[in-house]
Amino acid sequence: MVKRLLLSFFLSVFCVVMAFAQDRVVSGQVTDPETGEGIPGVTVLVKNTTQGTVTDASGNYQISVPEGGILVFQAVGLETQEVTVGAQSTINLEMGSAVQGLNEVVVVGYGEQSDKTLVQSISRVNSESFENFPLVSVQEVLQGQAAGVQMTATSGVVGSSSAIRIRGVSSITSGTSPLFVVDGVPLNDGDYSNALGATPLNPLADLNPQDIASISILKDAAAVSIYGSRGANGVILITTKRGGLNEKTVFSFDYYTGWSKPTTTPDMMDADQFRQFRADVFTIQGTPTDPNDADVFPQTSFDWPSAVEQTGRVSSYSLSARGGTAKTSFYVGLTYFNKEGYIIGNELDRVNLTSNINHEASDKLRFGLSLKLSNSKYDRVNSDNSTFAPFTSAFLQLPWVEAFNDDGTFTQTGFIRNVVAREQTSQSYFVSRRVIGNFYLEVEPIQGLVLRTDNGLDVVQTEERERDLEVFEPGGYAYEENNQDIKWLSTNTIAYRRTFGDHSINVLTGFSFETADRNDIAVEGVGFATDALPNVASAATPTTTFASGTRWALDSQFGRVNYNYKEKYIIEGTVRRDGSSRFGPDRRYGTFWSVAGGWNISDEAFMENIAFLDFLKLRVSYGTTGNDRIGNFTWQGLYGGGNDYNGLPGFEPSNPANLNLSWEETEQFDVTISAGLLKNRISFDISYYNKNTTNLLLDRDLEWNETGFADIQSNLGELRNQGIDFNINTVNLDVAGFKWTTNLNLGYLDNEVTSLPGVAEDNEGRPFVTGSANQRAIVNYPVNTYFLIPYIGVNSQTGEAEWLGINGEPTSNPTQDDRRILGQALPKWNGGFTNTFTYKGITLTAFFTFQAGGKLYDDGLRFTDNAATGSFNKRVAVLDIWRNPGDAAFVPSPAAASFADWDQRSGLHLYSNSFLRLRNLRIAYDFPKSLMQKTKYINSFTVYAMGTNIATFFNSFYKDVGWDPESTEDGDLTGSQSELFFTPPQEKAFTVGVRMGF
Amino acid sequence: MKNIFFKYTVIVAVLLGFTACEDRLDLIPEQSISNDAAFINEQSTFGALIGAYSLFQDGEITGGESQMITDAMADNVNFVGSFPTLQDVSTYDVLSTNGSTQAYWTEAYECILAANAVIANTPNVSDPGFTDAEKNQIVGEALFIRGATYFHLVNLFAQPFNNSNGADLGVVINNEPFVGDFGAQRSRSTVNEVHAQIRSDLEAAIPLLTGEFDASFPLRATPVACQALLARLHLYRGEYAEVLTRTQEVINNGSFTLASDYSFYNTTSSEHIMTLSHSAIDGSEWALWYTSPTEGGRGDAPFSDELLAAFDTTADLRFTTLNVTRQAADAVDRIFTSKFPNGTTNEDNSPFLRYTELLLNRAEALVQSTNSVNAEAITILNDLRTRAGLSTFTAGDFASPQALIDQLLDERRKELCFEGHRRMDLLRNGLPLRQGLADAAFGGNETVFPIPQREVDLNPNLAQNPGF
Repeated sequence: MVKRLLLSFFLSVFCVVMAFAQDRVVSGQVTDPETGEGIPGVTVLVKNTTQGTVTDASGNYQISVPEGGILVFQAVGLETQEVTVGAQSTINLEMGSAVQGLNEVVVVGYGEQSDKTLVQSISRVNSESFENFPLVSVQEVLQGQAAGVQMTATSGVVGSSSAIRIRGVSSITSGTSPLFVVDGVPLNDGDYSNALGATPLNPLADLNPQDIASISILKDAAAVSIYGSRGANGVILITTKRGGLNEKTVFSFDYYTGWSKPTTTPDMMDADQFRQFRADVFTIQGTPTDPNDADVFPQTSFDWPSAVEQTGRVSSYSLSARGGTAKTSFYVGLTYFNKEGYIIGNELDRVNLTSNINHEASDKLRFGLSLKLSNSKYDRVNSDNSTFAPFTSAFLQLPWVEAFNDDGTFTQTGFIRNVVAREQTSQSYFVSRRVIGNFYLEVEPIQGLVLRTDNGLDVVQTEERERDLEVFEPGGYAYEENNQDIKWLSTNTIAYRRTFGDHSINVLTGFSFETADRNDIAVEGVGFATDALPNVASAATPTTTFASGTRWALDSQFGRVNYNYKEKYIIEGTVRRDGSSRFGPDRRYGTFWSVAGGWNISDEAFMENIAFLDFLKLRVSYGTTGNDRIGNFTWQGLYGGGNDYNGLPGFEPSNPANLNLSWEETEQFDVTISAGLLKNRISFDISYYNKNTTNLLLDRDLEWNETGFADIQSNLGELRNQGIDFNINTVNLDVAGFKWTTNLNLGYLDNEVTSLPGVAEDNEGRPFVTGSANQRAIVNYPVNTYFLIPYIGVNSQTGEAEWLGINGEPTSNPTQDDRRILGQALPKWNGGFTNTFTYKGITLTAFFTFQAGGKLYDDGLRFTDNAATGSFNKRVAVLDIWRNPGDAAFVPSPAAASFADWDQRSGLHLYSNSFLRLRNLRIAYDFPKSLMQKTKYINSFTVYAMGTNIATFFNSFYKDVGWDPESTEDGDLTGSQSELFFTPPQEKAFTVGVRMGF
Repeated sequence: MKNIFFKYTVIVAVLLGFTACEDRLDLIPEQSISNDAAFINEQSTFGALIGAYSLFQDGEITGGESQMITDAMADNVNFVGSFPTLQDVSTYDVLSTNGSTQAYWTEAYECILAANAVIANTPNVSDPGFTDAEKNQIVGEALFIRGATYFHLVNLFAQPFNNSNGADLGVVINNEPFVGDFGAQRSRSTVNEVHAQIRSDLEAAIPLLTGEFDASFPLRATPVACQALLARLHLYRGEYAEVLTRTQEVINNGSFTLASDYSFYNTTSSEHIMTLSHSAIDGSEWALWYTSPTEGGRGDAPFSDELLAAFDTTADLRFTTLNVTRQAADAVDRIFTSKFPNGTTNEDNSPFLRYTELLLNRAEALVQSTNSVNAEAITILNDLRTRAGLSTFTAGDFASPQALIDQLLDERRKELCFEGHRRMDLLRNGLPLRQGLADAAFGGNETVFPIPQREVDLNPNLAQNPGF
C-alpha cells in the first residue's frame, strides 16, 4: 500500500511539466453595497484550486488567474459570488449579506469543503466568538459554543485541565477526550505535570487562543472516520490565523487586563463558633464543656479561608502582523500573557510566538511553514486532595490554629499544613516549553490534482521543581522532574477535484505515520544543610531517582471520495486503516469507514414556491471509528522494575497480559436537517445521532485475592449514546442600525451501558464496573451512575440520622447492601445561549451556558460536614445540631448512635449539577472607521469591558453549600465525573481591553 | 522546465523518504519486562523474589501502618491523626468501604500472588548455572513470605483462634499464580485451614533454606525465622508444647542474644531474628506515624494514657530511653516513642521477629503448659526487667500461674509496644482491646476488619464478617 502510493505520487509529479498554462493578473476592490466601504478579509479563490488571496484592509486584492478561470469570492456572513475572468484586468464587486453559514468553507479532516456540499456533522467556532476573552486555553473556547459538546473546566486553578465530551461518553475506562489537531498536527496531550493532588495541568494550555482563526468540531462518523482509530471521541481541528496574498500589512495590537475572585466559597466556622460547637457536642455527649476553657480549647483564632484568597489579575499583550505580497503571505504574532489566580501563589506567565508563512513558487507549487513556540511558567499550587493545597487546608484547618507565632515566624501546623507558610516559603513551579510546527508542500501538476506532504513536529519539554524549606518540611525537601515528549508526523495525500458538467468529484487518498517518544526523569531528596541551597543535588539523602521512557506509533492509510450532482445530491465515502503499537501483533490493524449522503432539498424545483424557506438540506451518515486511548503497553504481561529490597534490584508483577487486546469500535448514525427561513432571519440545524460502542476498552475489575491485580485492560461490553444536537441562529430585530441576534445551541444526551458480559453483578443481578467509590457503570444505566445509600434526614423525634434501607424503611444503621441507583453524573442537557445587540458600533453580548439532568458528589463534605471529628473545621451549617424532640435539624444529635457514621458516603453529599450561568456579559465599542481614517495611523479601534461568571441560577449546591457545580476533581476520568473534593471554584472576573488595528 | 521538474522531484522524494514501515509498530517498554522474561535465568528469578520482598515490606504488611493502627485499636496508641479511615479504625467506626483496611487486604494478596509466581516458576527455570540448591533457597524464601503474609491477613480479618477453636471464617487461600484465566471464585477458608496453610508454608521452607547465614542475615528469611514465626503461630493457637519445641530450636541455634540496651532498633543486632530492611528510597511507615510534624512525620500516634500508666516512667529504661515529647498532629505536645526516629528519610527497619518476643512466647508457653509458676519463665522475665533497669521477681511474688502470665503480658506490652503485637496479645487471651468500650470487647464484631466491600461486590462467594 505504502509503496503503491509512493509510486503514484512520483508519477503525478511528472505531470507538473505539462501543465503550464497562461496566467494573467487581475485586481480589484470588494465593497459593501450599503456603505460603499471596502470589505477586508474576503477570500478570493481560483475555482477548483487552492490558489487564492484575501482582500486587504481597504477591500483590494490582486490575483493571478488562468484565462477563462473562475474567481470565487467568499467571506463569513456574505453571499459567495463567482466571476468568470475574461479579458478584463480589473474586477470590482459588491458583496451583500448572505444566507448565514451557507457558503462558508469548512475545514474538514485533511481538507476543506464548501458548506453547501458538506455531508459531515461539524460544528464551527470562529474567532469572533472568543477573540479577546481572557481565556487560558483552547478548551475554554468551546464552552457553550456548539451543540453536543460538553466542556467542563475542572477547577479554578490557573491552567487546570478540562473535560471535553463530544456527543457523550463512548468509553468507560479508557480516554474520552477528543483528538486535537492544530494545523494538521495531532497534539501530544499526555500528563506532563505532577497532579499536586488534583488533575495535572492542561497539556493544551501552551496554545495561545488568540492565534486561532477557527475551530471545527467533527462529530459524526462521516467527519471523524478519516481519523480512524482516534475518531471515536470526536476530533477538534484548529486552524491558526494566516495572511493573504497581495494583502496590505496590517498590525493588530490587543491588550486586556482583568480582576478575578472565586465564584463562591463555603461559609466556615470561625474560632468562636467552632469552640462553641465542640463544647456543645461534648456537653450533649455527657461531658459538660465550656468553650472558653483554655485547658480544653486554644483561645486563639485565625481566618484561614481569607488568608489563602487574593484578587486574581490577568493581563495579556498581543501584537500581530498579517499581510502578503503577490507570492508570499504571512501571519506573525507575539503574545505575553500573565495570570495570577485567586489562590495565593498561583500564577502563569506565558509567551507565545506564532508564524505562518505561505509561498507560491508558481501556480503549480506551494509550500509553507506554520510554527508555534511557547514558554509557559506556572507558579503552582496544590489543590483538591492534598493537605498542601491552600484551597483545601484552609477549610480543614482548625480555626484556632494560627499561621504565625508571636514573633512573626510561621507556625508548624502538622499534617494539615500551614499553607500560608508554604506559599510564602516554598518553590513550586512548572515550565512547559513547546514547539509545534508543520511544513507542507503542495504540487498541483494539473488543475485540480494536488499532491501534498505535511510533516509536523510537536515537541514538549517540561521542567517541574519543588523545594520546601525547613519551616514547612523539617530538613527541607526538593523534587525535580523533566519530561520530553516528541512527536513526529508525516502525512502524504493526493487530492483530485473536478467538475464535469453537473457532476463534481472530489477524491482524497493518503498515508501517514506518526510516532511519539517520551522520556521522564525525576529526582527527589531530603535533608538540606541550609534553606539557601535550592537544588535537589544539595539534599543529603536522595529518596527517588526515577527515569522512564515510553513510545507509541501509528501507521495509517486513508481515502475519501465525495461526489455531487448539481450540488444538489451529494454522497461521500471514507475509509481508514490504522495500525497501532498499543495492541498485540495480531490485533494491531483496524479498518474504519463511513458513508454519507446529502440532499439540498431547497434546490429542487418543487421547493421554489415555498417563499419563507430559503434553504433546506438533509444529511445522513453512518460509519465506524475507534479509540486507542489506553496505555502504550497494556496488552503485554509485565513485571515492573525499580522494586528493590535491601539494596538488591527486583521487579514485581505490574500488568496482566491480554494478547487479544484490540480496538474499541464505535458505530455512529447521524441524520441532520439544516434550514434557513424568512430571508435567513432564522437558520437552524437539528441532528439526531446514535452511537454504539462495542468491544469497550475496559479496565475489568479483578479480585485481588484471585489475581494480585486491581484490573485488566479488556475489550468488553457495549454502550450507547444517542442524542439530539440543536443549533439556531435568529436575527430578531434589524431596524435603523439596531440589530439583535440570538444563538441557542442545545445538546440532549442519553447515555446507557448496554452490555457488560462476565463482570460482577450487584445484589439485583445487574452487571457493573466500578468507577469510583460513588459511581458505577451499570448495565441499562448511564456510564456514570451513582450507587449510594439514600439519605433521608434527621429524625425530628429521636435526633438520629436516617438513611433509606433497601427494604424501603428508614434505618439509622445502614449497610452497603442498602445502596441504590441515585442518578447520573453526566448532565443530560447542556448548551449555550447568546444574545447580541449592536447599534452604531456598540455591541452588547450576553452569553449564558447551562446544563441539566445530572448530579454531583461532594466528597469534601465528608470532611467539612463531618460533625463527629475534632480534626477539621466545619461549615457554619453544621452548627444546626438536633437538641430537642421536634427540631428539624441538619445534623443528628451528638448523643445519637448514628452521629459518628453521619459522614459516610451517602445521598447526603449528592446535589444536582444543573445550573444556568451568565458566562459573559460584554460591551464593546468600535470607533467609527471614518474617524479612524482621519488619524492616518489607526485603522480600527475597539474598547470593551466584560464580566465573566457573573451570576449562577438554579443550583442549590452553589447557593447553599458554597462550592461551584461546574468543577470536577478527576478531569478526564470517566469513572468519577462530577465528583468534587475541595475543587477550587471557577472564577468570577471583570476584564477591560482595547483592540487596535494599524 | 527540466530543472523545475528535477527540483520538485527531489523535494518530494526527500520528504517521502521519512515515511513508514510497519515494523516500527513493534515497540517495547523500557522499565518493565514481559512475564516470560521474568523467569529466564538465575538473575531474573532472583529479581522476582526481591520484588516479592519489596511488596512484603510495604506499610500495609510489615512496614508500620497496620502495626500502628492495631496498637491504636488496642490500648497502646492514642490516635490523634486526622486521616479519616484510620480515625474510624481507632474509634471502632470502620465501614466495609474503609480505604485503609481495604489496602491491608489488597497489598497482602498482591504480595502472595507475587510469591506464588516465584514458587511455581522457579523450579522450571532452565539456566545451567542455576543449581537446585539455589532454586530451593529462592522457593523457600518465597514460601516464608507467603506464609507470613497469610498470618498477617488472618490476624486482621478473622477472629482469633480462641474465639471458636479456629472454626471462624479466615481469609482466602490462593496458592496459584495468576495466568489470565478467570476460574471459579474462591471463598474464605476457616481460621484453622489458614493456620494449617501458614504452617505448611513455613515448614516446607525450612529444609529449602540452606543459605542460612549469608551477608543479608537477618534481613531475609532463614530456617530460624521460620521456627520463630511458627512459635508465634502455635502460641496464638494455644499449642504450647509446639511453642517450646520451636523456641528451643531458635535458642539452640545460638546466634541470638538479648541486646544489652535498646539501641538495637534499625540495626542488624543479634536481638533480631528477622528485621525488614528499609532505606530512604523504599522507606517504611513507622516514623510517618510515630514522629512529630516537626521531625517530618504526621505525629498521629503518641502514647496512650493507659500505656503511660503501665510504665514506671522514672525508672523503666524502656520508657526513659525510648520517648520524646513533641508536637502531635493535633498541635498539642505529646509523648512519642523514639524507636523509629527517621521522620524525614523513613529509613527505619521493621522489627519483624525479635529474640525478646521469642523468649516471651516461650515463657508464656512454659507457664501455660506446666500450669505452674515456672522458674525458667521467671528467669526470662527477670532478664528483661534487668535490662530495663527494674527490680527482679522471685517465684514467691506470684500467687498463681495466672499472676505470672499477667506479669508476662504486662512486660510483653512494654517491650513490644508500637511494634504491632498488642491487639493479638489481648485477643488471644480473650481480653478486651480497650477498657470501657463495648465495641472493643473480646469477640466483638469490630475487633476484626471487614472484608473490603469492593471484593465482596466482585465475588459473591466471599462472606462478609458479621456486623458489616
